[in-house]
Amino acid sequence: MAKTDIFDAFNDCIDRMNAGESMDDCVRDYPLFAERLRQLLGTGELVYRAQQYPASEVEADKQQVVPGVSRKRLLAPPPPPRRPSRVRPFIWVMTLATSILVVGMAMVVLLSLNNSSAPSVSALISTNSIADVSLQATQTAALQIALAQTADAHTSRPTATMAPSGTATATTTPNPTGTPAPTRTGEPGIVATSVSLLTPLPTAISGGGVLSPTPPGSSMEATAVGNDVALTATALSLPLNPIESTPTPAALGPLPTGILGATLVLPSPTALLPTVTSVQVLPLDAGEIDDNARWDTYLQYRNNYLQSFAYTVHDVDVTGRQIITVTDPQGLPVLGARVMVFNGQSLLSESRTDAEGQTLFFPNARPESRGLQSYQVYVEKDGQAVTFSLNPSASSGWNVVLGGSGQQQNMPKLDVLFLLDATGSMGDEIAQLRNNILGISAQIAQLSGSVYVRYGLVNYRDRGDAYVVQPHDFVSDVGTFQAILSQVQADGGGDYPESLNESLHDAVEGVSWRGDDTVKLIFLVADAPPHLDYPNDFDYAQEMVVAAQRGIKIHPIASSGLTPDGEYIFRQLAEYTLGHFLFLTYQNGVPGTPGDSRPELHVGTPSSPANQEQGDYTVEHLDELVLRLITDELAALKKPADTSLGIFPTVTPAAILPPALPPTITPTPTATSTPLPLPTVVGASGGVRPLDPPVSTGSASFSQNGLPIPFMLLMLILSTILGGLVVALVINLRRMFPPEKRKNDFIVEPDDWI
Amino acid sequence: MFLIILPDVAEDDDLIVRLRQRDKSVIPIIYERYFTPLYQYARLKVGDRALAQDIVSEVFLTLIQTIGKQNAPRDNLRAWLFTVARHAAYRTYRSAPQLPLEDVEEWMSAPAESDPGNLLSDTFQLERVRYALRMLTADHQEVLILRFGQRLSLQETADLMGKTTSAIKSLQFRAVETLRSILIEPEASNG
Repeated sequence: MAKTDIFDAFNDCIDRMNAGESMDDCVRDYPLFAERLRQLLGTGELVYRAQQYPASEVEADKQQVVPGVSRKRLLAPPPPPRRPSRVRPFIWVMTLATSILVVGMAMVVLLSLNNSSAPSVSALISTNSIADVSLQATQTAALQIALAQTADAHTSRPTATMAPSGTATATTTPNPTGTPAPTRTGEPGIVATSVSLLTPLPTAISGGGVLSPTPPGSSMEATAVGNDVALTATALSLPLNPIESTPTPAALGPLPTGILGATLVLPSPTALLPTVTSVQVLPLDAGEIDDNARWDTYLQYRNNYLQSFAYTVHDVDVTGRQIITVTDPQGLPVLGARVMVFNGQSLLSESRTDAEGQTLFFPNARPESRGLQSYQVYVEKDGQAVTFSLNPSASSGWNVVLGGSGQQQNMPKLDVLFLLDATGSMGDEIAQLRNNILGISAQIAQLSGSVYVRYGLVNYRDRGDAYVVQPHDFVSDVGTFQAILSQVQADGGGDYPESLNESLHDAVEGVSWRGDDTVKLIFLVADAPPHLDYPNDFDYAQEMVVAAQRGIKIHPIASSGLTPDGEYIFRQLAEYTLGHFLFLTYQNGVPGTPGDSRPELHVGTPSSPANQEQGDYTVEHLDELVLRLITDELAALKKPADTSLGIFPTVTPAAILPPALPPTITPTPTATSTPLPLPTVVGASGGVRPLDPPVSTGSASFSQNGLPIPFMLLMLILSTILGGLVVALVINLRRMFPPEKRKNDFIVEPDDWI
Repeated sequence: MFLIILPDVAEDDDLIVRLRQRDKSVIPIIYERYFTPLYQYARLKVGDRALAQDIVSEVFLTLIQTIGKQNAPRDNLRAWLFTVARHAAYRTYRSAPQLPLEDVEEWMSAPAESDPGNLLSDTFQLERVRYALRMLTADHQEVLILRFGQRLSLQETADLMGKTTSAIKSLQFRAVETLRSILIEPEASNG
């Protein structure tokens, strides 16, 4: 591709000039890029000449360094040699005992982990605490079955599995013969009469057994069929894990025996081991600024950038910003309220409020909306709608009270998506960033008892690479998300900008975000701006408009190496969607060592709590910072909205409007360039999002050793003793026979140098 | 001014062999051969003459201390020396006071008609280039100094910086573009 050619040409010319060729000779071989190459190579030549310090200085310093080296050498005498010591018998015994204890504990822990997911054959099926819901005929719901473990002296391997989720298609029909068979569908609730666990059984329980049923009124029977265990339950009601829950309890009484049947296939036990991967997170530090909170400073930065830099960006005029805050009569923020701004009949803007009930309107973003004295604003949520007149000269903040309740009736919902640059330039940090994201997801999973969380991932590279965008739709299981994320590797790229336009489009419009009662966040992790020169490409400036329409907040995280245009674009994305701009920070700005500075970005200086210095941003560990942003967002749902900076206009009840096709915005490139064809922005509408796709299940398989317990205990004891002996021997041998220290006789006297 | 041609790596093999044999007479040879490139590298990185001296002395002190040990140079003496210098520069850089960015503003604007290609013989302008180099990120600065300043190959630079060659290609391109954008007064925007 052409873009690759210029980089190869540039690199080739560097090598040839380093070998002695002239610039003209090399440039002549690349006539298409001649002018550009001359500029770049000319700048490179300056670097070469910049290092040519005066010869007299170099010679003088050369003479000074010699005695300096010798002085340092003489000041650092070698350490005295260690004498071998006799190891007392007491030390031997203590070392041995400690080693045996440590090794034994380690083996016990390992073995107990191995068996931790192993309920015995006498498994109980118990209900979880989530309310029952109706199973619709066309609905595939995630079925949650918790199999409690009971002690079974005769089995040592898992015979059933702990299932965080499985897929169930309940089909039940009457069967007067009493034998389980697929039957009718669409019954409220689910009644399982058979559960097939595709797991091999230890022979000890072949022939089956009787399981203790729960709840009362039901029964369960286990039969071994080859390598399968079939658990047959009668008149047992099992709750579902609701994705879109409507708490409608479906209480079922005892049913005639054998009438209903359903088959539940549980995932393999290896997939059902603890799903939250323990990840050692190497700390990355990061700073964060909220440009909407420091608006004047941001406007100044924006102005300086547009005046100072020749990098192309797709600017959107955000001056004259209006903040609209929507609350319920109790003052609580309304999440996901639709806010539409009109000029007469012409729709100028559509957006949705965030967890703080806020959204933004930019009157100068479009030519047809600039300079108007007033706008008609329509606000709607859950069948409640009001209108008011917005006058920019009167205020920049508007507080709207909407009837109904903004309080979340059910557990709040959170969709968090990581948009990750996976090109080669991220290689030095992607492992750390990936581990940080894994750690973040594990911490978010801790919230799962109080919020319905889903995780999404979109990783991207560039045109010409193995892939451009790899979207991974939302999943509710953090283990699945972590498994996907762990596979992401950094490669490709080559030139600097990447396909962020297309990947942002996929992140905003290509995955299944949930409805208006969901907190929606994108964390963009990248070190490069988007390509703005590709034909038939999407446009980040359009995608951020769509994101705002859908109530999706973008938090960019700037990795090392981001250029000024990248910073500007990232901050555009954050500011427009009410997100924050995050940036990794390093010690003295040098990537590799976490610290508090990032001098090449225009973010000011860090605060120093130790010195009580108030700076422009504070620094935290990245995972803590991200988690704080998420928890703050969720906490805002239950706190009174901040209406201190706005005025309360007179509102008028309004009729509910149907979803309209929102207008496009034409961003302004800041450098001369051929306008790109802008895609049509698809209107965002609310509504129930589809449920999670079924969790894929595979046949369960795990090993069985079938070894008798006494033998295993004997092996455990012997291996513990042996392990302890080895450790004790190693420790004490080093004491008795320390490695011989070789004398370093390579001492150079000062006068040997000259 | 004079051109520095780095010693051929193949010639260093003999020096490495002699180092392994603990032949101390090889140290002055290495010093003569590599002092100037290392000094230029260090001084361009940190900008301070005394700090550059410290860095270079650190390099040779380390060389002496590692003779006969596991971490002595094994195959590429040049890469080993520059790696030590790079680490020493980072350590020194962290403890050195940062250049206040406000002082840079007086260096920022160039006359609109000036082009970097015409700045070659102007000492003042060379200082401007050095200052602009230190405004770059550490990676940008590093790749420019190694590729253009020290004329290292793509692979050597990648090995020194711990990156892939494709990453270095993109890094050197954007580093030059960034340096150029700092040196040239930007045109007025149309936005």
